[in-house]
Amino acid sequence: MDVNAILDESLKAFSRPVASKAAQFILMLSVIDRTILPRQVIFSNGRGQLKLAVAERKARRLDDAGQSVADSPSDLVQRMTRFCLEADALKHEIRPAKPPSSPPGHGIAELVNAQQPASVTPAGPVGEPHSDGFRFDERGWPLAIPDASSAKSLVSAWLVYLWMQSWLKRHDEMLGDSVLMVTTEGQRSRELAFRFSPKATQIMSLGSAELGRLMAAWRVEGTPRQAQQPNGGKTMGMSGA
Amino acid sequence: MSDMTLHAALQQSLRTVPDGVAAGYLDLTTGALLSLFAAEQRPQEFLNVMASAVTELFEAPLFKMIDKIWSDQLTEADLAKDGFGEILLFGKEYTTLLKRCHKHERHAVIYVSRKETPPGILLMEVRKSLPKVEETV
Repeated sequence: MDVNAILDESLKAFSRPVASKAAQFILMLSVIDRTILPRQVIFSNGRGQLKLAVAERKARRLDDAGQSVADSPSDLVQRMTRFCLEADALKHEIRPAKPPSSPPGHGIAELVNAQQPASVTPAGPVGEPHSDGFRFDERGWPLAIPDASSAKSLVSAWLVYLWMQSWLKRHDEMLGDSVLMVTTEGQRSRELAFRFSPKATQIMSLGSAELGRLMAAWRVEGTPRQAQQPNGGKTMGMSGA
Repeated sequence: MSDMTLHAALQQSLRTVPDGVAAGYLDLTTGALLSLFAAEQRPQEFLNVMASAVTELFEAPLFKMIDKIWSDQLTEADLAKDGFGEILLFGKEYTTLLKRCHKHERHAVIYVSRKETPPGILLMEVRKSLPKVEETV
């Protein structure tokens, strides 16, 4: 089984109702990022179609007459977002196309990072201003990704996000629900950091010099929860020595 | 193997951690907590939940994907490999360090300290004391 197949299977498995809209958006990005040769990609959402001219991992929108439209990244991603939010089940078809005469369009990082908060969440801005790493809102919708990220990386980050949300929901009373940092060791010198909060999740790769800064910025705030007697309630937090 | 018991080794190692609250030793294969020293007694239910949560965190294939996000090559074999060596959890009251053992890769230790404990010191002290703890197993 190749890597794309693993990721595709995981995407299907996690296309559950709560995350399905985000899954559809990520699937669109994934199709764009895997397309090198010029292709026409036609997405159907059960209500309508969105046609894209894709080449060299970059996409442009096509109008009904099949002509390339010079949308800005924010315009295009807004259309994609609306298309996914309206979708019952997203399907796509890929057709051969002539090499584009116009500039190639927008890559997935450019698209994700061009999102306006209001177009993602009608209720208003979510999370923090753009910063490094992968950032998802509470629905798993990608809000920001590092420049030059591949769809493979995005899907991996998204799967981790979904798993972690599920894990934290089951264990947050024991461990707290705000910040998680992970380090690796041995041959891998990379250090990874997560920040989970009710509104947004961030996943980053760091150098050790950045660690102190990040920890200061992510310091858990809030009133310590009151621990209860062992048989006195649902709180399982340790009450300390 | 050391003459010291695992419980005593955990107790001794926890003394080196400023504001250390608990230290435990876990078998990742079965999810069983083999030993725990805590500054105060905890209900068994809590210990069971902690052991299963930690086992899940170390073993979940989808969580291991995180290590591949920044890797250029991702293969099925990579996904099957062991995941993280160390995991630090910052909670509202406590910091928890989960560390996979060196001598026994299917074992892990858990250290809980108050959140005021500098995480670097927690990490350093646990790294220093791990060989002694492992000797008792």
